[in-house]
Amino acid sequence: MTSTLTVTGLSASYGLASALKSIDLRVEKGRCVGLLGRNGAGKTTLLKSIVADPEITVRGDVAIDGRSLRKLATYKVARLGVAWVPDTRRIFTRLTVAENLDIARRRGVASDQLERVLEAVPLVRGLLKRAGYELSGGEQQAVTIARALMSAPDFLLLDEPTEGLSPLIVEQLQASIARLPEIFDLGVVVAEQNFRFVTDLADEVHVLETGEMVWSGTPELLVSDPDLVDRHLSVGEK
Amino acid sequence: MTTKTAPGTVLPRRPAPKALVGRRAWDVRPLYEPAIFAVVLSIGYFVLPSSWQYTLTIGVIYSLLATSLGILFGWTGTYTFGHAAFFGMGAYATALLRTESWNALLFLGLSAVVAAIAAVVIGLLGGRLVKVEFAMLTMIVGQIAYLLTFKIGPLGGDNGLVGITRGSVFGFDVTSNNSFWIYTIVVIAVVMGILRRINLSSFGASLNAIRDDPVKAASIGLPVKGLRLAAFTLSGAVAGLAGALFAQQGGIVTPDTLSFTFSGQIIIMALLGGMYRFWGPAIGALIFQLLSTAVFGNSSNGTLYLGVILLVVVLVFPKGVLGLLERLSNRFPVLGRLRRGRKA
Repeated sequence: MTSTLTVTGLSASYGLASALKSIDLRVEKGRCVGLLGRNGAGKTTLLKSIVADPEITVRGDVAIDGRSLRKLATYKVARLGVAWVPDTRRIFTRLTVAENLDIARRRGVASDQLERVLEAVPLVRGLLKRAGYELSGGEQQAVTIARALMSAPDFLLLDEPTEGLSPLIVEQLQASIARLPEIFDLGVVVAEQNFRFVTDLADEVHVLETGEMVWSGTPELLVSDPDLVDRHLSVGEK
Repeated sequence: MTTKTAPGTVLPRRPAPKALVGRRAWDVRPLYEPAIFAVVLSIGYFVLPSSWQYTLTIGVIYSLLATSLGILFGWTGTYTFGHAAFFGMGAYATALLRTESWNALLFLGLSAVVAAIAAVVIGLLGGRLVKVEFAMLTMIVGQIAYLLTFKIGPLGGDNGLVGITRGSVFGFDVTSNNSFWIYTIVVIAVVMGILRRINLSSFGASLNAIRDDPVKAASIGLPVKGLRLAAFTLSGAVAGLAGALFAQQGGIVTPDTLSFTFSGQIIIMALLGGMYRFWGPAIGALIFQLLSTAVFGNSSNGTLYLGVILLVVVLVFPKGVLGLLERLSNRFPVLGRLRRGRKA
């Protein structure tokens, strides 16, 4: 079933410090949307605003198929089908991987969800009995994605999934994420600084700069315009 | 829908691993662990001189009380400085309801309900508070409950309430010390078994998740406030049940059972054994009781000696006695069996 996550006129602040200004975003199930931007551009704040992080004051609206998520607590947003994988990727280290997955399973989710998740993120299959604190960074990232998928979400928000991972692991992760929209019929939002990762993965890309969305389009268009990339995504003198 | 990167080979379908879906169905720890606990202590009870019997009976009741605190500190990461209030409420509920015609178990159930209701009210009052703020609320409420025992006439003031009978359980008389021990240890083993089952369930894992990171727990759909309230209620109910056993054991209840000092002692018991292991608080309570009465009880400097021991434990073994065993098990693999499975 087609379903759409819509962000309309979203502004966000941490106390008095403004972090996002009038953002519009539309994510459909089955598609992957990339968010690019330098550190502090507002990518993480946008994802946190969608999942109603209580630290953030938000104006504007976030809705799924017209149903507003604005007044809901974070756990209710999750139960409505928005899964968030935060940037620090910490899993619950004192639980086993199996327990990490188990607590995320929502009521009513098909009993074969675990098997579907393990097929989509095969690295996790061999880790089920291990404690969270025993895992490497790449393994933890795989588990956090698997855990998010256990709730059979309609939308998956990934914040800096490649942060601190080796190129080989990033490649495997990219292959796994690429399959998710099709396997689970979900919409994926990837917030990243890794330009190549996002442009390879996404169907459409939005570029954020100091809390504003400064460019939107296809990854092909972005890749073909080095000036644009230089202006909004490079660091150093321009 | 488009996926731009080659998806790679689809893995052949394999059956879902039992590690996740069936793990708890066959986990027999809730059965054998309380049984070992009860048998070992019962051997001690019947083998040791009779002067130790009182100490063991109180110690095992405190074990249950300290475990109820472990539900908050160890499982959930919720702190309380007024836990004795629930213990005292349970004890006073049993004292107020005292009658010989009722089954002794009925008092335990009613006391647990009274303490659970109090916990729900306090939990709702402090719904927005976390960590130290919530602990301060529990301390204030605990102190109010303590002071009320002096102000409310039917609670007996300074003298407390006396004349609480042990009665019988389904016709089985539990008035003698030995029969009361059997009644107590069976009740506590059953309750500990139930708590262990909860500890190993998805609910228990969810409590651990909100302890470790409440924001991430909420992000995967766990209702953090609701789970905290549930844990607080469960903890209060178990403390109330322990209070009822305490009242039945001694036949008297005094305001000390709700005091701030006693709340502090419960925390020390749990720390002594190890807060983050299921059995840590229970073992800590037994050690605390043995040290404070059987070992140092007759010494004028007993409290000082006990204080020094506790200081050493906190400084050298911050994870308590079971934490120490864990460290030893790393050196001596034969001890490794003691640390299987998830911590509290």
